Parts: sequence; C-alpha cells; structure tokens
Amino acid sequence: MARPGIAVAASAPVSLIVCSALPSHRPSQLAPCLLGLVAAAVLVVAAEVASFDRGDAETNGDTAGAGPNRWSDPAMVSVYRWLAHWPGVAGVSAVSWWAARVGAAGLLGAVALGAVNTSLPVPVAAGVVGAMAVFSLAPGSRHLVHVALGLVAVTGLLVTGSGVAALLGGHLTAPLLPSGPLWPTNSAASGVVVQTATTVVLLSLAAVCLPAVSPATSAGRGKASKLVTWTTVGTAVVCWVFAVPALLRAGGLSMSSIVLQGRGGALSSALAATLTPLAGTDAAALARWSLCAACLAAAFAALAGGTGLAETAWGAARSSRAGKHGAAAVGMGAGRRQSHARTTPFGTLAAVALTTGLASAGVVALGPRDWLLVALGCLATGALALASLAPPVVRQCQRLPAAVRTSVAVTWVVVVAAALGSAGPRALAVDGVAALVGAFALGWRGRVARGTWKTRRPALPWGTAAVALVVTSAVTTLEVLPLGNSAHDGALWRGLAVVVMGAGVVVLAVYPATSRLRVEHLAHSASTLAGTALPALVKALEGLATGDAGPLPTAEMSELKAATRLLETELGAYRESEAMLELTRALVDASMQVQRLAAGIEAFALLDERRLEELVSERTAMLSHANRHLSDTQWRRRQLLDRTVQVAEGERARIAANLHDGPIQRLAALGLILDRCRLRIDRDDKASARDLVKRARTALSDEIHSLRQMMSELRPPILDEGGLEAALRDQLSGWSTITGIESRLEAGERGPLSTNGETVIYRVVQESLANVAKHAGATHVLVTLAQSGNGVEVVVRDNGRGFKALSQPDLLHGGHFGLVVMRERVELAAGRFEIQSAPLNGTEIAVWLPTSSTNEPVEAA
Amino acid sequence: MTGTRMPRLVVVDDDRQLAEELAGLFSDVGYEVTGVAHAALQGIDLVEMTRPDVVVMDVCMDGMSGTEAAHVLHLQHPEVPVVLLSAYDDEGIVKAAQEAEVAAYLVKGCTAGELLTTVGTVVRQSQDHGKP
Repeated sequence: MARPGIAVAASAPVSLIVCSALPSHRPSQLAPCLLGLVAAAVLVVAAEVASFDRGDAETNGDTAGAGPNRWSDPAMVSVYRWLAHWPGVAGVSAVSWWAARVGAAGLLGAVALGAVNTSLPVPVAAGVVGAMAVFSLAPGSRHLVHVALGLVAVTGLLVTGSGVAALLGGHLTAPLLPSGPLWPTNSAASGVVVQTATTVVLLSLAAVCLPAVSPATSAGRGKASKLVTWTTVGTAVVCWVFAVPALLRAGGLSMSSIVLQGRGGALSSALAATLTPLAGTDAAALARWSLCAACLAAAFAALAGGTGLAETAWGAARSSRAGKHGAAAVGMGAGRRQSHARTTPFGTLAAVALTTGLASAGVVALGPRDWLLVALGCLATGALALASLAPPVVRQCQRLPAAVRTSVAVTWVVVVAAALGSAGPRALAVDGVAALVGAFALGWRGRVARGTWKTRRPALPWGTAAVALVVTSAVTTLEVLPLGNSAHDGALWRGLAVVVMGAGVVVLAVYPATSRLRVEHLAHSASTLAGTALPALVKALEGLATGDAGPLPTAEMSELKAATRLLETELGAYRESEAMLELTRALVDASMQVQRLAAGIEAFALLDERRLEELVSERTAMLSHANRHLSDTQWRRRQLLDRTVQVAEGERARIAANLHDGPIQRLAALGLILDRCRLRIDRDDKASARDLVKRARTALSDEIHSLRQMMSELRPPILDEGGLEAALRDQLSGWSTITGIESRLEAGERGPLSTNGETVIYRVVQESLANVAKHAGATHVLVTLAQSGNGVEVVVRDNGRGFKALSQPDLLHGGHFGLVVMRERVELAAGRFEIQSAPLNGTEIAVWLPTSSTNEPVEAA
Repeated sequence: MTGTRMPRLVVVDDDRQLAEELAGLFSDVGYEVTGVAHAALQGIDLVEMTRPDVVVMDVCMDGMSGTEAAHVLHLQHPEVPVVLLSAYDDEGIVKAAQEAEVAAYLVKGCTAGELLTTVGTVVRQSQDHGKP
C-alpha cells in the first residue's frame, strides 16, 4: 500500500531543492507550494496511521494482500505506532484515504507548477500535473506503482534518448558548449555546475535504479528469456553508446574536448593531480582513462538495470488482474495490453525502444528546456514519492521487490543529491558520500547476508547501483571541488536535512525489502512443498491404496522434511504482523501434517510388508500341519487295511479248517459206514447191515445240518430274508443259548438302512457279543435298536467288568482288533462308533449309521 | 494166514465218529482194536501200552499232528508201522508224511477195500520183518 504520506512529506524538501536548483528563483512561489506539500503529507500520514490502528486492509483500497505487506515493516510499524500516540491524529483518521491521495496528488502538481519556470507552456504543465493526478487517483495502487515504475524508467530512458536526440540533432557536436551538452541555460557559474551535476546525476538515474531491477529479467526465466533479456540489454547498450559520449562530455571527459574545455580538463587535471604520486607523468592519461572506465561502468549498469526495470514494470502491469489496470501501465510503454508471460522481455525491448524514440522526439521537437528538466525531476520525485515505497511495488515485482524499492529510493537520493548541487560543493560532497555509504551498505549487505539466493541476484544491481552512484558523486565532486564555487551556506543545512530524510527514506524503503525477501523465501518453500513433495506423496499413497506399491519417494520426503524445518526456522526468526504469522503458522502446520502423512505412509508400507510375511508364515505352518495330519491319517488307514486283509485271509483259513474238520471227516466216515454195510451184506448179516444203513442216514442228515449252520455263520440268510431285527433276535438267542448269558433286544421304529448298513450293524453286534462272552464276565446284555436323528443307532450294553476305554492305537495293540475293524467299517459307512466303558461299570458300544435315504456308504479305498 | 493171533490195531483220529467207524470196520474184518485215541499223544500212550501191530492215524489233528506222532513212534517203537490217513492229498503233506517214514499213506474218502488191503499189507510186512 502506498505510503504517500511519508513520500509526500519527503518530497517537500525535494521539490524545494529542485526549485532552488533552477536558475530562475521564484521564492514567492515556493512558500505556498511547500506549505501545501506539508499539509498533504500530514493528511496522508494521519490516514495511514489511522488505518494502521484499525488494521483494516480495505481502507487502503488495495485488496490483494495489502495487510501483511503494509505492516511488514517493523520500522514503519513503530513509526506509525509513535505517530498514533499523537493527539488529534485519531481525529484526522476520519479523512478518507482517497481524499489524502487526492490531496497529495494535487499538491504534487502544485509543486510541479510552482517549480516550473514561467516559460513553461501552460498546457504542458497542466498536462503533466493532470497526468500525475490521474496516476495518483487511479483505483488501486498497483497500476499506480506500475506507472511510477514506468516513470522512473522513463526518466532514465528519456535522458538516454535526449542524448541520442542531441547527438542526432547535432547538439553534441564537438566542441560542446561549456554549459553542458543538453541543457542550454543561463550560464551562471553555479548554474553551470548544477547543470553539469544534474545532467550527470540524471544520466546516472537510470544507472542507479535500473540496475537494481535487472535481476527481474534474469531471475529464473529460462535460457530463452535470459537470452532475450541480454539482447535487450545489448540494444540498450547501443542506445547508451550515444549517451556515453554525452556523459563523458558532461563530465568534461571528451577526448577531443578535454583540451578545449577547461572544465573537462579541470576534472581530468584534478584527477591527474590526485594520481600523480602514483602514476607520475602518466597521471593525466590515467585520470582520463579512469574516468572513462567509471563512466562506462555506470553506463553498463544503467543498461542492465534499465531493461530490468522496464520489464519489471511491464511484468507488474501484466500480472495485474484487470485489463483496465494494465491500461494505465501501458502509458509508460509500448501501448501493449496484458499479454502472455513470454512476451515480457519483448515488451521490455519494445518499451525501451519506444520510450527512447518518444523521448528523443520530444527533445528534438521541443528542444532542451528548463521545464523539461523540472518535469523530469518532478516525475522522478513523483514516482519516488507515490510509489517507490509502496508495498504494491513489492508485491507486484515478484522477483525483486526489494531491489526495486532500493533502487528507486536510491534514485531519489540521487535526485536529492542533484538538487543539492545548488547547495554547494560541500553539501554535495556530504550528500554523495552519504548516499554512497547507504547504497553500499544496503546493497552489498544483502549480498553477504544472503549469499545463497538462487532466484535473485539483487546484490549485483545493488552493487552496480552503488558503483554508479559512487561514480556520479565522484565525478560531480571532482568536477566541482576544484572550481571552488561559492556556496550558499544556508542551502547546506537544507541539503543536510534532505540527506537525512533521504537516508531515512532509503532505510525505510530497503528495510522492508529484507523482510519481504523472507516472505518470498517462505512462499518459495511452500511452493516447493506443493510443487514436488506433495504430489509425490499423494502418488505414493495412491500406489499403496491400489496395492501397486512402488518405491517410496524418499527423496521427496526428505525434501519435505527439509522444507518443513526451514519453515519452522523461518517462523521462529520472523516477527511480523499477526496476519503474516497466521499465514506462516498455517503453512508450517500444513507441512507438519504432510510430514506426518509421509511418516504414516512410510510406516504403513513397512507394516504391510511385515504383515504379509507373517501371513505367509502362518499359512505355511498351517499347510505343513495339515500335511502331517494327512500323512498320519493315511498311515493309519494303510495299517488298518493291511490288518483287514490279514483278517480276511484269516477268515478264509478258518473256513477251510472248518471244512476240513467237519464235512470231510463226516463224509469219510459216511463212506466207511457204507463200506462196512457192504461187508455185512456180503456176509448176509442183514440185521447189522440195516443198522449201519440207519447210522449212515443219520450221519448224512447231521452233516447236512452242520453244513447249513456253517453257511449261516458265513452269511445269515435271516438277515436277507427276515430283516435286521429278526437277524439280531436270532443271533442273540443263539448266543444266549451257547454262552448262557441273558440277552434282550429292544427294537423301535426306524428308517430303512442300506444292505451294507444292516450287515455292518449285524457284525458289530456279533463282535460285541463275542467280546462280552470273552472278556466281560457279564450276566446280562441289552441291545437297543432305534431311530436317532436321520439315522439308526444300535447300542450293546452289558453289565460286565468293563475295561478302560482305549484309543484306537491301544485297541490295536491290545488285541481288540475286532473292535477296531468294526469302528473302521462303521466310519467307512459314514457312521459313528463309540465305546464307553469304565472298570466295573459295564461296557456300552454305540453305533450310528445314516438311513439309506441320506448317504450311500463309501467303500474303503 | 499163519499166526493164530489176530492183528492188533490202534486208531488215532480227532474226529470221533470217523474214529468209531474205523474201529468198527477193522473189527468187522477181524482186527483187534486195542484202542481208539482222539489225540496224537493219547495215541502214543496207547501204542506204548498195548503194543499193537499197526497204527492208523489221522494227519490233521490239534496239537501234535499225525506226522509228528508217527515220527515219534518210529523213534520209540520202530517195529510198529503207522498208516496215515488224511483229508488232504496235498503234495507237500504227502511228502512230509513220507519223510516221517510211515508205512503207508491214505487219503480219506478212499474205499474200505483199499484201506483194508493197505493195512493188511503193512501188517504182513511188519510181521515178516519182525521174524528173525
């Protein structure tokens, strides 16, 4: 936000000095002008202070982040605070900002008018004042700043153009008039000095302020833009080529005119005299060449800075949002509207060329006039006053706000120095030294303190500006000193006052620059976060979410952490306004969040890996366990199968033995009986033969019966014919008869069983009964047969001595193989086999088989 | 037929009915059945006690088999011939029976005539051998 109050207040003495520098003094015109300026300054300052109190950014009329920038200057803040304590200032706060600005603009115009020579054509003067008023009143300081910057640039370029025009117009033919190359004025001695000094200073105006802005063109725009920039600079160099001779001549260093013009010769002889102890007889030549080198350096600096400043102004105009704002900025340049970023260098070039042409045309057309000098001075002052200290300049000049501010401020100082030319050589010397010191201190300090700037090289133009100022002051001083002009001692104090004010303004102008730079740095860190680290982080997160985990962006995360730390440090070192702190704190919080997110992503990625390994080992363990179980089961099955086959073979052996022991013997005996019978018949012993036949018949019947029994044992026909219940009853009754143990069958309603199921149950009961007969020592056996669930259950319960319920392997080893085989047969038939027994508690064998409608039994492999 | 004495015979068979019939058959044809045993060891004891002229023994018996008993008898009473009767005509068993140095081997189911002829031959041979 513009601080026109301070600027106006500072411009008052400047105008005064400028006026006093004019050959024609019109003191009667100065007083009202001065008073008006002072009043305007007070008004504006009051308004500023009031706004500061309210902390209201809108009051300033600038919406784009006015607050932080405005209050980002601690010195300004303290000044405002101090001012706010004055009584009555608060009352003045009612004055609107616009009124203050209007007043300031008007007063400046009055100053311009008052300072203008009476020879100034009224329309021109009115036009100048009107232009300044318009620029002052235009809404928003932005374009005003642009305009101001443009004005500053124009000043330097006009000077250059004037030189060109003068050359072309033949004004600069050798030998030059002793009164100076450009401004034919009253040839008062002091005026001559002033003219010369002013000329030099004005020429160095660009050299001072423009170089400060040169980094704006070269800062990170890429090779092409740099190339264009340097091309522009080269073009400007060409323009300056014409100015150099003028500069040299202005400094009296024209090679051809040194001899002819005493002033130049005086300067060089003075320098030679200084250098004689060093160079001896070559001192004169050395002095000449030194001065030439110095002027060339200044010219070069001016070239670099000039293009930079123009581009900055153009860029600022371009970056402003509304086209109408840009239109005002166009006034300084090529008449081009807002255009693409790439065209800024070309815009600069165009601005330079056109401005030069206009200036040259103006000079040619109008001829050198006092009013021209005044106008230029006023323009420069106005630019300084209204815009040089304005934060909008800072804001708009994204690349080098500090440098711009500094350079503009320094330029103002130079103007002051020029005005001081009338105050006398001593004042001039003091001014020059002070300005020199200030420029050096502020410019080079920046370089040392911030040696690692990447995007800016402000120190170079600052240093260059300082060098230019040094040269200017040196030349002027050296030129003036030997002349020993009479000084207006009163003017010395004016000059000193102006110097102090100028120094103060410069400090105020530059100091915010450093804090502004810090803000820029923070913004850069923030953009780093957003630009590279955050997208990489988001990508990593997305990758993890989709399971497409690529490598972690560790580089970006380290960068993120570094940026966060830097931000934290910056915040700690940055004691600025609340709004700025808010912003920075929010930024740091955001970066901390992002850092936590990054850590979370890292941890998650690692966890995911670990969890995966755990799962894999779990599954592997489960698989090997299942595998072992399977092998175990298979082994047991194979064992049982072997034993089953063994038992089957044993069965066959038993059957064979039964056959041997039974039927064969019987039949052999039967044969013998028949043979004996035959013998008896041969002996006619019919009675005994008849007996034998009877015996044979009985034996045959017995044998048939026993064979039938054997068959029945092998496969009870009753099972097929009578059903399970009947077979069981039969079995039980037979068994009870043989063993003498009571038995009972209780059969209930039940579903149908498959043939295999019935056989299995029959055999189970058979085996159980056999075990009871063998081991139990029971007196009673109960067999129940009933429906259970969706199957049939048979239970054989005895009241014998029982046995410890053994597991299958123990049963196998204990010789109860029949039970094991039974269990196997039952399980193969998709049933369940249970033994419950305890010592002295009897034994219960329960078998459950599904009914034939549910499952078909699966045969053993 | 020289020798006024009737030949003495022991029947050893674990099947009682068959043993009974055998004894009846040999009685019918004029043998003196001095004992009927239903086990090999019992048969050996009978031979020890009654000193028959021939032993008719079943092969497949529980406990000691007929072949083993024949072998024992051959060791203890070599002058007593043994005729083995078996339900099997398995070659292996036949060979084993022959190695036991029995006098004769017959399969059950043969006719009574075959049985009587064989036993008579065995008795005559043993009596001939027994004569000094």
